[in-house]
Amino acid sequence: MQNRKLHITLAAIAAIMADLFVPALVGTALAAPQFTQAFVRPDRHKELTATGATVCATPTAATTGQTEDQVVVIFPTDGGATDFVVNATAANWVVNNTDLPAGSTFWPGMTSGTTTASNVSGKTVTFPSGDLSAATQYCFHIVGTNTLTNGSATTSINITGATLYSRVSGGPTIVNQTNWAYTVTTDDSIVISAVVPPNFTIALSAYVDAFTTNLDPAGIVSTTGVDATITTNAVGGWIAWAKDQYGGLYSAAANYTIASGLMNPYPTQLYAVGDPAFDLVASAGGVGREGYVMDVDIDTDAASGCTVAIDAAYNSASGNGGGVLSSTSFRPIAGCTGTAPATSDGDIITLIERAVIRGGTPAGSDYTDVITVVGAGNF
Amino acid sequence: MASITTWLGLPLVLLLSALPASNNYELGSYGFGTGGTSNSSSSNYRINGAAGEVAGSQNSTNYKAGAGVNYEQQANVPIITISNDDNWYNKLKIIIDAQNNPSDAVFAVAISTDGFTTTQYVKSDLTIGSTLALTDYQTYAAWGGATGVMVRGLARSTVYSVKARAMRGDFTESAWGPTSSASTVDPTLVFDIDVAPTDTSTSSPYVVDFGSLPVSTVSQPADQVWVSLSTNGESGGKVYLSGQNAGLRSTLASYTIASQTGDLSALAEGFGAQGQSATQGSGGPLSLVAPYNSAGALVGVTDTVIREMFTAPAPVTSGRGSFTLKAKTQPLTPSGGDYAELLQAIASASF
Repeated sequence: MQNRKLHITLAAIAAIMADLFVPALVGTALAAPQFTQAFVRPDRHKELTATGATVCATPTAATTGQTEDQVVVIFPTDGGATDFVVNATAANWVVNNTDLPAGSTFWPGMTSGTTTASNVSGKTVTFPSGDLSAATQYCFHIVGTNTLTNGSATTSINITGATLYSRVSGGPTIVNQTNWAYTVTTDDSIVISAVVPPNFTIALSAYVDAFTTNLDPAGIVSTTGVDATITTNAVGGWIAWAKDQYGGLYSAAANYTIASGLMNPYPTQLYAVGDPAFDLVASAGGVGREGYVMDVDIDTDAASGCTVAIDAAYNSASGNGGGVLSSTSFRPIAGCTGTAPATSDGDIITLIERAVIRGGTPAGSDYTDVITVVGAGNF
Repeated sequence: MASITTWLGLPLVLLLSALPASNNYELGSYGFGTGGTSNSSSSNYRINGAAGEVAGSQNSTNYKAGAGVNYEQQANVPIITISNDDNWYNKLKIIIDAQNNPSDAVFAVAISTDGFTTTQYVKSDLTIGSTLALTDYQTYAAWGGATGVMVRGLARSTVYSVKARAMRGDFTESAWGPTSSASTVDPTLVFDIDVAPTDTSTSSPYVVDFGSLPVSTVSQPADQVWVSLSTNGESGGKVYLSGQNAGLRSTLASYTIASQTGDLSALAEGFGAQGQSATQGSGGPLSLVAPYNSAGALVGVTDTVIREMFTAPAPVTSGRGSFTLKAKTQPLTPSGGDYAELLQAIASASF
């Protein structure tokens, strides 16, 4: 009686204990611990467009004691008209450390520009990895050439199956795993357009330029000079032209023109419009000489932009000469050129008139010429 | 003499009736206080009275008759609910209803994705495990009380069922309570671009035209760029911007109005982006990231480097941001009708 009583009691205890400690049952296997955070950022969202991607993840403490040697990216399925295309050639899947997020560490076990995927199977791309440490954000970038092509644009609920995990291949043991979302849009680019309008200015420092002294058969007399300042955003630089009104210095009182050029000896005209610059020569030794020219000098060739050059017809190096202006047509006197953009930030050229007379040049106090200077940007 | 006899007789009577027994069995406890005015409890003690035998079937589909001392000792069967309150893809919330179990009662939670054809358990660390240990029995308070707790590490787009049971000391474990089910969703990321003067939905191509840039003037176009961002990523999401030409470039002029970070009112020339707004329907919040969070003539660079412009540190719904572009030319900026930049906006979510 005592033994049976004991057996019943023990059996009851055993039953309760069994009920308490339910044997481990086989249930649905769930994912390994998620990365603390993880994202896959494409280079492009645009549909049907080749793209690379930046992969980042921060392992959890689950990585402690594990030596990962693989990181696996599974690209999603696009439920729209066209699925993602994952290039099957592992060697195409080159990684680098381009544009990684600030503060992140380039994925261990990878060499920028050299490491490639070790395997591509369907949507699954496996990369080599070094051992990871918890709480460190690791990243790598996948090039966008011959790797991944986006599917068709659709909402993210139709883009499914994307996951990222680190693994010990020997197990294999998935250490951390995170499912991620992707989106594909019709476009991801914004075109910005603008017009920079042309501008050109030419300004003269004065509008009267008198000879510094009376004209003298014994020497070359020059005017003070007038500066022309040219500014333009023309990509091809600028050109300046000039023409005069009288074809020389004209005296209404004397009804006489000291003709442009040089008569040497008077009245033999040696030069014409278009001839290279030449020197005036004073009258002397019974030889009368008479002439009138315009010389153009570079005062300032503004830094950067175009390079100023004086037309050979008006570029007197000696300071005693110049060139023949036309009274009928504008003649180029200077220009600024260079590799585009050959703009000008304020070039300055100086226009100087020079003259020499002979003893028989009719007297007059009203010798004058009117020179018109124009310019244009070369757009 | 009579009193002595009586005194002697009573103990004998009690002795004979104290141990109901047969040859092989002894009644260890029996009904007490079933009649009369005797009380079966005091301030600190009580006696559980057995209800007697149960006739007929003890169980039906949804109910069973609890009988016997063991049943009286069992904890009250708790109720548990599981829910997805915010488009969670990797977690669900469980809340236990203790059903008047005392505060030192402990509860265990079972979880399944196949209606308990297979069963796993919510561990004390709120992850899922295949075995149930004593340490996984936790008090109502430890299970988050009326607020509940998050069960993590769940698979996406999966229906989970849970049930709970209670225990308070040895041999008091209740049966499993009723099940409750909820489903995780898929991770989501929604991103869109619009170009318009005001918050309006537009389609590609997305074009922003400055028109003619007056010299030495900070200009901005009428259109703004609007971006939408929604994600259930636990760590939120970001919108990035980059510029193919690192500025406004004219092929004809072979010149780029370089993009830079700075005050265009002070710079001779430049181009950049300036955030205008950042809002959300819920979550986030969505905000602008420096240097795009300035005002006036201050702009942030848009070059070939992919830079964060908007960020949300937590899941965000209906995030909406906008930015404008500003440019300034100088007299020497080469003229050209083909100045252009190609900006690319991308988004990512952190799960």
